[in-house]
Amino acid sequence: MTQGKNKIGKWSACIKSWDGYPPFVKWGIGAFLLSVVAFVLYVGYLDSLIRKKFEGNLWSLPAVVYARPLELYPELAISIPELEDELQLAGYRQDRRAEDPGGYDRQEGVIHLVTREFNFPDGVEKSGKYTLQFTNDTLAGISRTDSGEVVNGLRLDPARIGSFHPKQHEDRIVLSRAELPELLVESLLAVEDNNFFRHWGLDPRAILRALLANTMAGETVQGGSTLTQQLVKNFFLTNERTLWRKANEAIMALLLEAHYDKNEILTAYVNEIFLGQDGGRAVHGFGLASFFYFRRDLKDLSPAQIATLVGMVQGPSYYNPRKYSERCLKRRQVVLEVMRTKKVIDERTYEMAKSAPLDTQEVTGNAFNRFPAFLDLVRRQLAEDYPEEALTSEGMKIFSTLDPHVQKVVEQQFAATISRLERNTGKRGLNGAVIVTRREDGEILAVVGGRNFLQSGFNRALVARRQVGSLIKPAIYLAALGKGYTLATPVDDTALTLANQGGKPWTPANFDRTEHGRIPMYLGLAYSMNLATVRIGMDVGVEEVVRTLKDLGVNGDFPAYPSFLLGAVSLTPLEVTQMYQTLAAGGFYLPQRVISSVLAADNTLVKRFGLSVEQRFLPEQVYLLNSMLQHVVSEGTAKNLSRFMSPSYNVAGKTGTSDDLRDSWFAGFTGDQLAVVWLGNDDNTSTGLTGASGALEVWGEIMRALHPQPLDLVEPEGIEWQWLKPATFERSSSPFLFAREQVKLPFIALASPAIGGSSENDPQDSPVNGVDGVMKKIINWFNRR
Amino acid sequence: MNMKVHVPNWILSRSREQCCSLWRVLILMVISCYISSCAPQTKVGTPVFREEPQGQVVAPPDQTAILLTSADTAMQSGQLDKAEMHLERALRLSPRDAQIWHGMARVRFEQSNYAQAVQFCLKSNSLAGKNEAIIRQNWLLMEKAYLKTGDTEKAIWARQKASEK
Repeated sequence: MTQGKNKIGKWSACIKSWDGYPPFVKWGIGAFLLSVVAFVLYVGYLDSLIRKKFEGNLWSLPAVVYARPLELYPELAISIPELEDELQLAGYRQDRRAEDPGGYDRQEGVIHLVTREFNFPDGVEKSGKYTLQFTNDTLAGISRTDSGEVVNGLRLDPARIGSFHPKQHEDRIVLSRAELPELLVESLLAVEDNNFFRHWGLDPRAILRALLANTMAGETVQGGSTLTQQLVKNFFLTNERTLWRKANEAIMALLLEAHYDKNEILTAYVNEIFLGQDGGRAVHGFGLASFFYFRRDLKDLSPAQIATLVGMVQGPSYYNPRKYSERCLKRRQVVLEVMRTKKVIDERTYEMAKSAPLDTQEVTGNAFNRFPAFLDLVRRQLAEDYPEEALTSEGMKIFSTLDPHVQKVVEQQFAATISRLERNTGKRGLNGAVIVTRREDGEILAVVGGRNFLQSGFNRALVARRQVGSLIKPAIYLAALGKGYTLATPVDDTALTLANQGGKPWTPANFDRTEHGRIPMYLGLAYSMNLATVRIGMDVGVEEVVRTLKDLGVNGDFPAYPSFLLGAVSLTPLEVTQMYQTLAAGGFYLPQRVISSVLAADNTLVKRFGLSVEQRFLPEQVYLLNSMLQHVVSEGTAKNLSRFMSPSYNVAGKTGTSDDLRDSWFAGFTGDQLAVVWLGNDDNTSTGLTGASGALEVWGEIMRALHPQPLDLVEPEGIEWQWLKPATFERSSSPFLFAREQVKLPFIALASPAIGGSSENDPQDSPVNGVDGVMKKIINWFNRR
Repeated sequence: MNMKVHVPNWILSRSREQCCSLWRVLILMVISCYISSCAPQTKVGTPVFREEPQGQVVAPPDQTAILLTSADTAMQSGQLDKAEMHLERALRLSPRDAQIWHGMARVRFEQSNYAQAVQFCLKSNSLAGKNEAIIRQNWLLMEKAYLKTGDTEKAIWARQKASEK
């Protein structure tokens, strides 16, 4: 107790002794104490800021999207210019020596190439030097450049086609300390912070030196900031030149050094520093900058190139080597001299680097952010599985199905043809969309979302819902084949009136306003005869046709009115592609694929988008339908395709035109690819084009440029061929002697009537025979589960 | 029944073309042989505006075979994802190779996805043409898949189809 009293006594004595001081001293000391407390609190706050930043992920890493990798193998039909184009898209550079990864050298009939190491979802592909021999636009052979060893195949690292940025548009390739070339580290320190490994975050000598230099010059010519200060400034502070900012910077630099290792700070700096602008994307870090300016990995840069980048730290826009090459060269010279003086490089290297050209590569050649409509599709698919946050911050690697070569060709041909069509019709404002897929596995290779897609952002390929017109007809004929119709079944192409929506009478007509009388069914599709088609559709039942359309892969609610049979239904180009994909793949439904795999930032496989198939139709029926679609091209409404491609391609396709020529469609496939083209005006006015005079032209130009494979339909079991006289509907297993007109058609063995059969079947009354039941049973049997 | 069929002119003209085509080809062949034998060996400067097939670019046999082997190895060591990716890669090179589709069916079977195993077998069959060996393999695998799902009736049927091959 007495001790306690003593303490209180001491304190009160102390306070009393204050009485003797004048008030300003008292206030002064009080204020000082308060500010010390405030300062300590403030430092604690800054400290927490730093810890928070460094303990989490330093950067939000956007998900990167890759194109499909190019597979090279002997006998591949690819010319040297085409391969060079692919290499440019994948960020390769023309390089006379072709010694470092990412370089190639083109010579007469030969390309020397050094691939880059790449982590694929199925494993690592090592870097290697290869020699590719070409003869007549075909890759003749691949061998290892060093040993001459022959190689069976080669997979190139894929092009980066885009990334999903968070709101602030920063992009970078994050490297670890081990991945930083020593020459870069030494040069950077020599120029920016000579005492880095000795100071505690601030370098008083450097500050004094800068002060002196700046005073002498009368302006700011030199900075005294350490790397640590610069990093702090970039992470937490603004660019303003105030004392307050400088003080903060100094305190935080000291704190950062107190908490973290020099190498951690150095690595963070190398990854953080801003080094240029690529349109809307800010290029951060030496890793991305190296690729952005030189198309090389950082570890493969020459001393001159390292000096260029180090020089640019001072002002990436001011010293932009593409824009201001002289200024940049001068700055590089300053850096090289520092490097020589501080013994970072020897005299010989200095001399070589001094005379080296700037050697920057054009930014325009690569595929990054060049295909926004396709990227939009990738983003939509990813959004179903990942939240926005994960896409913009976790550094995932998305492997897409884009074929950059096909995409480029499609874009070029689309733009050129649509302009030509506008000149022909004299109308302006024509727009459209194109989708190209691989025929058998349904992978989407290319997407065009319209003209000036970047300005409008309106992806017509995915969201423009337009009337499909005659593109619907294959669904009707497929349903008819399921009901026992054959290609030779007689059908009347004669006028009729039906009750449509709301009981209103509906009198369809042919495009040419004439009736064609009784015809074999296949001609109804080949010449897109509306009257014959409506009669078939009404016989089969509109609901059955709707069901067939859904089985073809088009989801939606379609009211089963008769006008549905002539395409009074609106679909997007993507939906139409799905519909024709099922036909092209022989009756197997394959969900469309734009992504195959997703890897995490550390290259572990996190998600597969595997293939799946489902047989929806009997192969025989689809075979017959596809044969009819070949007749559309060989003799029917798409005959004009022969202006672009030889008939020996055996293309299967269908034209479509909506009322008043508002929409012009063509969907078709070759041996390897399916493409759907839609043309129309955004305001839904008349284009003045039919499917054949508009979309078909675009399709033809695209396919001509893509060098497709001919379509060779695999004949399923149970198909037999018969000769038909269209005029009398007579059939025979052997050609008719002396017949002036006859055509050879495929039939399902079960369904083909006795040889030399008659034309007495009247499909308008009933299905031709009882096969319908058998087929349905088999189909149901497969689908029953 | 009115047997008189109204055939539009365009059908008649098309058909006439077809029956005359054999003669045309013969005459063309004779003429072209003659012309080519006496023509000077220079290229005529007519622009080629129409794409002609470059001959069927067949699957790269070596590379596809290598990928199939890799898929096999991966599957035997239980790396089904990897096997699947090798096969998908092979499919991009030769999409109409029934053997690769059969491989996909085997992977799905090992993944216990029996419905998809059957579907991939059907797809493989649809591309197999006259390759009876692969068709047989497909039916045998379908039999196994049906047995796994307890569908004896279909299994017996699949076995029967296999024995027909």
